[in-house]
Amino acid sequence: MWEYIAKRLAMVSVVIAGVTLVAFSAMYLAPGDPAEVIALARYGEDLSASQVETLREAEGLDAPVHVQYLIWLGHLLRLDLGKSLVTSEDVLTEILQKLPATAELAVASLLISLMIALPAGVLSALRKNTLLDSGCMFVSLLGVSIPNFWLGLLLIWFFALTLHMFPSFGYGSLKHFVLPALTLGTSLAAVTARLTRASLLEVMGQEYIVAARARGFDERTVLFRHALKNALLPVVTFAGMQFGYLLGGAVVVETIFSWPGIGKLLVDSIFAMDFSMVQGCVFFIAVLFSLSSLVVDLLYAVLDPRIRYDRHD
Amino acid sequence: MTDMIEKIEIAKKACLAEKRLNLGKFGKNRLAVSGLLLIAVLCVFALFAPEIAPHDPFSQRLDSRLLSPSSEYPFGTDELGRCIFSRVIYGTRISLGIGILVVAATSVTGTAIGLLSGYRGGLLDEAIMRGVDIVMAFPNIILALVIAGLLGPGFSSVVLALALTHWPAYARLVRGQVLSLRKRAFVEAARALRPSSFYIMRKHILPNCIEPVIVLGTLEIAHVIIFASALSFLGLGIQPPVPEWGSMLKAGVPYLRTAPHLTFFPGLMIIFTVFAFNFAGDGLRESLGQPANQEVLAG
Amino acid sequence: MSSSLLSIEDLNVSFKTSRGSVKANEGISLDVREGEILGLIGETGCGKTTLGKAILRLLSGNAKLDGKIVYRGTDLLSLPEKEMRRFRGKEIGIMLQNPSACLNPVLSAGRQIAEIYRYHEGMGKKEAEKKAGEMLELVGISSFRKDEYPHQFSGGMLQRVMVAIGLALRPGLLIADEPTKGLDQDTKVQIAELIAGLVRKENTSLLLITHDLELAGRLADRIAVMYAGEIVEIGKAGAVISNPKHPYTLDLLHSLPGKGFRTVLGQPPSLVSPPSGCRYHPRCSFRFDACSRVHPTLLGPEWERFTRCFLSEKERRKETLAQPLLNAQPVIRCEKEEIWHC
Repeated sequence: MWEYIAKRLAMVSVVIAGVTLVAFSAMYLAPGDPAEVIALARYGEDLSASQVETLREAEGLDAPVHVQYLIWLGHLLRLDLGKSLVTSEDVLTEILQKLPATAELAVASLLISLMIALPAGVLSALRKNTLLDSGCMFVSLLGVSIPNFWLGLLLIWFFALTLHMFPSFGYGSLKHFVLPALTLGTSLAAVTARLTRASLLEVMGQEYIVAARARGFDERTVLFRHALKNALLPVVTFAGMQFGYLLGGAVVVETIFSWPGIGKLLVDSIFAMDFSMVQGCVFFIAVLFSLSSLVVDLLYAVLDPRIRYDRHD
Repeated sequence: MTDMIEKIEIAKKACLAEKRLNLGKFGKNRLAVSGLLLIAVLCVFALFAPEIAPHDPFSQRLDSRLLSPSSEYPFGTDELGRCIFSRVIYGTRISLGIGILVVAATSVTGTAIGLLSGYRGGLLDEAIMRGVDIVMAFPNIILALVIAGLLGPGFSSVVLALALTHWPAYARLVRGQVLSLRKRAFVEAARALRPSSFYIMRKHILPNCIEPVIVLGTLEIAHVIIFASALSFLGLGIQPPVPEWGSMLKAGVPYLRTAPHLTFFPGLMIIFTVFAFNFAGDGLRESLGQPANQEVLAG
Repeated sequence: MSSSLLSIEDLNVSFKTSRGSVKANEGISLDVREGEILGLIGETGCGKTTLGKAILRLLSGNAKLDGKIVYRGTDLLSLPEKEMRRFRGKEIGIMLQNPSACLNPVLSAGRQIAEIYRYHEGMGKKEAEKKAGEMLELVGISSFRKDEYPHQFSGGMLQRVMVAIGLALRPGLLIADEPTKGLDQDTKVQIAELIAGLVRKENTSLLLITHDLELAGRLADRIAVMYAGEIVEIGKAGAVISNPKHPYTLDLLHSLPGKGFRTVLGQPPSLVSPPSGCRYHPRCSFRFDACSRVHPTLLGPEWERFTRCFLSEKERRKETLAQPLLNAQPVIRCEKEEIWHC
C-alpha cells in the first residue's frame, strides 16, 4: 500500500507543478499587452503612456516572462498569491473567505445526490428491466441532459418566484441552501444513479454472489453483506471526485444564485481582467481538485483490501 | 509452423469479430434509433433554418417586445422584439457547429496522442500522461472559462477553449485500448513474424479504437453543447445578437418572473439536442457491447 | 445396501437463450448414497456443472428445471425458495468451480467462514471466528491466516478454504465441482486426499464433478459418465475404469497419458441441437447404422451397471474401427428404462 501512496504523491506533485505553469500563463492569454489591459481596467479610457509604464514597473511586468514566472512561483511557495489588481486585497485571503460558502454548497449537493442516487441505483439494478428500472434510467438520462443552469432557473421560477417558498439568490440561512443544492445535487444524482446501477449489476453477476447464495443466505444478506460492499466502491470514489469538482466547478450555479463562492469570484475577476486574482483562483481550485483526487485514491486504498494488502503468496 | 499460422489466423479472426459493428442490435434499441432521428431533425433545422424560421432572427421590433407565444410568434418574442422561435432555429447552426467542430478536433488529436502514448510507451508515454493529468487537474469548466474569458467573446474563442480542454478523454481512452490490445495480438504476431507485425497491429488496433471513440464522440457532442451554452450564459462565449441558446437564456433572466418563455424555450432546445446525442450515444455503446460504467464526468 | 441420500429422477435442465434452447441436462437419473463418493465425469460443456448447481437451484433466471431431486425424502424442486434455503449450506454443501472467483474479495477468508456460523447457528462474533479458525486448521491452513484476504492465498490454499466453507455446517452431501482444476500435480493430490479424508471421516457423501478420470478412479466408489447433457454410463468405479462399456468412456480412458494418450476425435456437440439418435455417434469408433437414428436409453447389462449404447459386449471387445456393420442387429433390450433402486 505504501508504494501505491508514494506513487500517487509523486504524481500529484508533478501535476501541481504543471498547474502552476498553466495558471500563470492565464495572464498572457488575453490579447494585447497585460500592462495596458490592467491599466485600462484601473484608470479607464483616459490613459497616458507614462501611467502604463509606471504600472508595468510596479507590477514587475517589465521582466522577461520566465523570470516573472519564477518570481510568482517564489511567492507561491511562501503561500503568497499576490494582490488583486483591482481591489489590492490579498488574493489568498479573498479566496479563503469565499471557500466556506463553496464547500458548504458542495457538501449539501453531495448529500442530496447520494440520498437520491443510491436507493434509485440499487433498486433499478435489483429490478432490472422492470418499469421501475426503465423509469429511473429515463429520469436519470433526463437529469444528465438538462443543463444545470436551466434547471436552476426553472427551480427559481417555480419555487422562488411563483411559490415564494425559497429565496432566489443570496447566502445566509438554511433556506438559501435549498435551491442551489437541489440544482447541483439532482444533476449529480443522475450520473451517480447510473453508475450505482451499473456497478451493482456487474457485482451481482459475479460468481461469489452465487457462492454466497449457495451458503444459504437470503437475498437481503447477500445484497448487504456481499454485493453492496463491492458495488459501492467505485461509487464512493466517484462521489469523492465529484466533491472535488464541485469545490471549484460549480461556477454557473454560483453565478445564478449569487452564491458568494470561489466560482463566482473567478468569473467576476475574469470580467474585471484581474489577472492576479484569476491566476490565484485557478491555481487554488486546481490544487483543491488534485488534493481531493489524492484523498479519494487514498480512501480507495484503505477500503479495497486488494490494494491495502499486497499479494504475497 | 502450421499451428503458428493457425494461431495468427485465430488472433486475426478474434480482432475482426470485435470490429463488427452490431448494427442489428442498434436497430432494435428504440432509444438509440429515436436519438438518431432527433439528430436528423436537428440537422434539418440547421441546414434549412432560413426556410423553417418564420422571421429574421436579428430583426428587432421594439413595439412587439416580450410577447407571449402566439400563432405569429410560436415561442413569443424577446426583450428586443425578436422572434424567439426563429432565433432558436438559427441557434441550431451555432450549437451543432460548435459541437461538431470541437468533437472533430478533439477526437482526432486526442486519438493521435493516445495512440502515440500507448504505442511508444516509455518516457514519452509518461510525459504525455502527466500532461493529460495536468489538463484534467482543472475542473473542465474552469479552464474553458479562463481561456474563453480572457481571449474575448466570440465563436472562435469558445471553440478553442473547449477544444483545448476536452481532448484528454480521448487520449486516455485510446491509450487504454492500445495497451490492452498490445498484450493480445502482439504476443501472437511477434512470436511468429518479424516486427513488421507492427503493420498488423496498426490494422487491428486502429479499427478497434475507432468504435469507442465514436461512442465517446457522440456523447461528447452533447457535453460540448452544454458547455458552450454555459460559457455563453456566463457572458464569456457567444454574445448577442448572435442567436445562441445559452446567451438567450442569460438575456431572459431579468424577465424570469414576467416573461419566463424567454428562458424556457432555448433551454428546452438544449435539452432536446442533448437528449438526441445521449440517446444515440447510449445506443451505440450498447450495440458495441461496452459496459455502461464508462461514464464521462458530469460538467 | 446403503440407502439413497440424493435421488435425481429424470431431471431436465434447459436454458432459454437468444440462440435457442440449450438442453444442458436431459433425462438425468442418478443417485448418491449415504457415505459414498460418486464421481461425475465429463468434458467441458457437457452439463455437469449445471447439474451440480441445479441440485441446489443456483442456476440463473432463464433456466428451466423439471423432474425430481429428492434429498432424504424431500423433492427439492417442489419447494418454495424460502424452504430451499434451509438446505443450502446446511444439508448440502457445494464447492463451486474457480475458488478465486467464488470468494468475496473484500472480506477476509475467516470472516466468510465465520458468517456462515453467525447466520445459520446464531453464534456471536468471537465464537464464530474461533470456529472459523478451527475449520481452517482442519483443512490445513494456519488459523493465523484467517484475517487474510482471498487475493493473498495461492490457488491450492483457496481450494482448501472452499472445502472449509463447504463442510462448515457438516452437510449430509458435498458437491465438489472441479476441485483440482488448474492446480499442479502435487497440490492436486493433496486437495484430493484432503477432501476424501474429511468426507469419509464425517460419513458425508460426495458428488465429485470432474473431467479428471484418474482422480475419480482413485477417490470414487461409483462413477457416472456424462456426455452432451446425458448420463451415458454408471457403475462401480473399478469396473467402469477397467471395463468401460460406453465408447466415450473408452475414448476418455485412452486419452490418459498412461493409457494411450490418444485425443478424443471431434468436437463436443451443440446442446442446442444435439446429434440425432445417440449423441456420441459422430465421434464413435463403433457406430453403426442404427446409432444415428435411434436414441439409446440407459440400460443395465449387469446389476448396478448401466450404459447408454447399443453395442453388445462382444462387438466392443473386438475394438474394431468404424465400419458400418451391415448385417448387425442393434441390440435393443427393452423400450422402458429399468429403475435401479433397490
